[in-house]
Amino acid sequence: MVTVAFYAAVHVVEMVFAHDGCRQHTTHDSRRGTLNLRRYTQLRKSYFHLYNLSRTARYNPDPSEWFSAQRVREELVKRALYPLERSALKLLKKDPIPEIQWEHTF
Amino acid sequence: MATHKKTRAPIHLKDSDGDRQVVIETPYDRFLMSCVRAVEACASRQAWQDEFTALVDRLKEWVESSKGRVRACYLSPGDGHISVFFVPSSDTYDFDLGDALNDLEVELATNFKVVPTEVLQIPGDTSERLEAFVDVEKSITIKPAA
Repeated sequence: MVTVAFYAAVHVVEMVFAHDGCRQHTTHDSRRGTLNLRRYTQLRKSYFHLYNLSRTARYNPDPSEWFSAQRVREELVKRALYPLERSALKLLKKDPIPEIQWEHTF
Repeated sequence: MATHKKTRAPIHLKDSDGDRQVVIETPYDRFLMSCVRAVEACASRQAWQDEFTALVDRLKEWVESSKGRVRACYLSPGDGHISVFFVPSSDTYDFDLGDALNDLEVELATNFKVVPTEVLQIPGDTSERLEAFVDVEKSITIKPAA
């Protein structure tokens, strides 16, 4: 779930970069470098958590003890992914999109 | 009685010597480099060392000011950057610490351009989890004062 949320964020960020006329990034380092620009301050705040957690989920022997599925839904999605999408839409001057209505519990 | 240390004459390496070649010998290698490149390499090495020292000092200060929520910080060579790993005091990911680390990463990227860094919060409540990310033996460890 963390990795899916992170790659959703990568696509959102690249969409904003494309809108701004930036070249497409092929490495995480270069993408994070561009996010250091003042224009992307809000995007970066959210992206940082998603990137960090996807990295630790990948190498952590017990990822669910570090960050449970419930926290992914209640914290990561609400405190990072949604704000990142809202910041992106603001930069693109688009209307906000509705939040996911969860039907399943984890 | 004063003792006099015998010193050897310094070697003058000048970039004004341009393409003139310098022979560099180590116990395992011997190679040529132009004076211009050798001067650049020495200057870069010094700049890197100075900035790395300042980076470690800044991180010591940050860890100390974050006492209570940071258990330890590890500096480790990464892929084209220095990885700066933070272990939170909690056993799980600390979202508020993550916010602070994002600000720290931006600050480091702004102030330390010669030594690029990547900041990550990692689990470290057991040595098994810590070692999945860090080779502690090959890292610089910073811990808040007790």
